[in-house]
Amino acid sequence: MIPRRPAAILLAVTLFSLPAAEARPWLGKELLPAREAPPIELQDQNGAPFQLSSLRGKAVLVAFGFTCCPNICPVMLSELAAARRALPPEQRALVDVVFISVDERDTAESLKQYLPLFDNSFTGLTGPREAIASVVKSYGGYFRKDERGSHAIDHSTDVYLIDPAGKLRAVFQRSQLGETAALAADIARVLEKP
Amino acid sequence: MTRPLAIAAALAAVSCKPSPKSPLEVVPLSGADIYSMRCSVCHQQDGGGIPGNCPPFQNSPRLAGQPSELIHLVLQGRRGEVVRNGETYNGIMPAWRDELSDDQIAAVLNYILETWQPGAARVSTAEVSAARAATENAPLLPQDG
Ligand code: HEC
Repeated sequence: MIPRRPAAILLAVTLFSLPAAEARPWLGKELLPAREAPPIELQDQNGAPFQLSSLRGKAVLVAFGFTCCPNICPVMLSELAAARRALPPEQRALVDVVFISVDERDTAESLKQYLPLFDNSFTGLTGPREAIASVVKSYGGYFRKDERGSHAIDHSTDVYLIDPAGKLRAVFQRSQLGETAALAADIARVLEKP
Repeated sequence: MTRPLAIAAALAAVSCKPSPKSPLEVVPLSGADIYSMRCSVCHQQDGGGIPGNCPPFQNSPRLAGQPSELIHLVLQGRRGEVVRNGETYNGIMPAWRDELSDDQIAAVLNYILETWQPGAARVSTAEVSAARAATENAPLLPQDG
């Protein structure tokens, strides 16, 4: 039979010849085309100015939350710490977790006490409310006071993966973060194929 | 089947009412399931915890102690240091009151007790319900005690 769909055949050939690594599905939602991650300019837990661009060369995971968060944040941060630990030391050293507080009550000091409860390498950020709001929004997230609890804040729980070139590559829902090996594999993938 | 009846049956099949025999209701998650899904990231599947962060269940004086304290801990969580066998652990035990039902808290605690403190008394759902009511306004993640 004479092929009547050259495009389909081309596609089949292309798929067939892709390297194995490409065939492994991502755990997170891959963002295509990879685009520049929105800038983050806030203050870190030592009170020093922080710019996301200072982490070029590293894989960065960005999460939002607050230090009095009773359940979701500690679980998420523990899952991110577990994925980081699951990587071999050379790769682990190239992974940064950036936790952005959406709570006005958080300070550099409260973050400084909080983050080592998960991993000494994590970075915690605070800043003026408007600056935080604009960062959260630029990542497609949200936060608002939770009217049910006096101290609670309802916030988006997606986690973003940025590659060493500063490109936003994938987004994870919090229910996926417990897949430690698969999460570590996604991080390794952006480290290996910047 | 007549045509209108067939259509009615088809409509019934796509409506979103829970089926009375919903498998979710018939087969609740086991304590072991809940442990793997919610607890093992910190406590680890083998109960060994994380050095410097989360104490092991093996030889835990808390597991050997009062079940009421364990229930309180799971409902409210805890933050801060704890020293075991000369080792210091500093981590956060999340508060599970909004995430797990009374049945689930009893099931997961009983799984932990059966596995790492087999001689201990079991926890009942009624005890968890009573503790939940008593701690309605208690602070989450207390740092002392
Ligand atoms: C984010 C990490 C984390 C997760 C997830 C977690 N725990 Fe814990 N858990 C801890 C830490 C840390 C302690 C020690 C708390 C303290 O004494 O300050 C602890 C202590 C405990 C203790 C007392 C054990 C002892 O020896 O002191 C029990 C029981 C317990 N957790 C049950 C659970 C159950 C049940 C779950 C899942 C529903 C769970 N934990 C999930 C971190 C965690």
